[in-house]
Amino acid sequence: MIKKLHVLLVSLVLSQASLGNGSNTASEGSLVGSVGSAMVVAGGASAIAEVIDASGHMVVASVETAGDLVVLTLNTVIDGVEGSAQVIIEASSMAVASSLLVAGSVVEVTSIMAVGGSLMIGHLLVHAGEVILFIPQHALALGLHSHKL
Amino acid sequence: MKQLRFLAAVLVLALTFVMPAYGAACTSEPPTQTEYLQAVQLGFETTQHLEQTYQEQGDTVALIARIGSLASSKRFQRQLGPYWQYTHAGLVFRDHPSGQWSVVHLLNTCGGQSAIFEQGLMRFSLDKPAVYVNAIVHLKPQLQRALANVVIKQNLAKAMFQNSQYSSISYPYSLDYQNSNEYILMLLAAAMAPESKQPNNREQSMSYFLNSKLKSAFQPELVKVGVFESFGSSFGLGPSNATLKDHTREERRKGKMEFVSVGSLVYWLTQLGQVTHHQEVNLNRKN
Repeated sequence: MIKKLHVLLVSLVLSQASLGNGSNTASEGSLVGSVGSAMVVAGGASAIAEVIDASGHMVVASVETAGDLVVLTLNTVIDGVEGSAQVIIEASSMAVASSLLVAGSVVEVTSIMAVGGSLMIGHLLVHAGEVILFIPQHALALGLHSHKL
Repeated sequence: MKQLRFLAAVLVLALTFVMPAYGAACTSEPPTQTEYLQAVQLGFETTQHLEQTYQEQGDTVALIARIGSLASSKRFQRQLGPYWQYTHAGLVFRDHPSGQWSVVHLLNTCGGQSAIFEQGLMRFSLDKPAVYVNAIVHLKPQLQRALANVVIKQNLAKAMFQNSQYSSISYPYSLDYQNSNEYILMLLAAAMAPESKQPNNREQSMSYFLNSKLKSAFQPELVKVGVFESFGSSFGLGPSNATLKDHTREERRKGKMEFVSVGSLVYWLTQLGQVTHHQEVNLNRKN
């Protein structure tokens, strides 16, 4: 089912060990905001771009915060090849800076769909420090926006 | 005393489980990873369908519906049209200032409260629907232009809401309460009004609806409400997002309440000749 998607989307799924059981009181109208979203504003998730049609895992090497910015350094093992990536995240909520997104967390990489191209920036859905989903910038046309009038 | 308490508890339980539900509770569990992915996929496939229709026919506005909860076939008496089991409707606009393919709809935020939201298609699918399926109803070009005029150019989306009280089974012909589908009915009525009688708010739109050919073409859905549910509701028992207060004595006596469903909206639009075609985008029905 999922493999039939025709837009680049790489999901970074924290391993079961680091997923935890975060709770959420989001109501229907404000889910994304409550879950916490973070825009990757700089830095190349170049390693992520190369893992399309691949699988592997990443280990969070370090997490640095500076105001609303979080610098995430990832050591990657993709199809057996080691690499690294640094992602700078502008947090839209305090969720990113909370304790679960820490050095040592294992991020499983699952390629869901691929039609080629590169993936540099995107949207991280984060809740209580857990990366729930990574969505590349151009996939945002799918419509994550939500405005209450 | 114990018997009374027991009866009250039974009534509360009965009402909680049988009233048709359209909105979320005040709190809800976050979507699981799988639900996120399904929402992404459904959002994408719905976008694909809409973009294709845009390329082929130039459609920029459509009615969209989802199945928020599974309604019992015994509860809905009329089961109007092919989408009678859909519970929640919105209007989707390609060229919306909030973002391409934005859904404008009314959401029950908590209890009797609701608000108008402009959301992307993935976000629309993130409310943990009962089934990951969207119905897309394509409308005649003139109605599309009129809806874009009402919602985008004249910015009347909120005026058709007027901070109404929410009831999932609101009576279609009064302003006391409003459900999500009745809100869409008001937008559609405003869009179908002639320019000289253009409604500027919910009250005017309702007035136009009631006093034009629009009402005679409309057939509300009927939801069956049991004696105990009706009795309990009169004491304020039951779900906080549904009330029978705005319904007529006749309806209560018969135990059948009229309300605006997705099925009645689509049936109505079809009767008025405003539908060009319709399609389901369903993740569970892949070839």
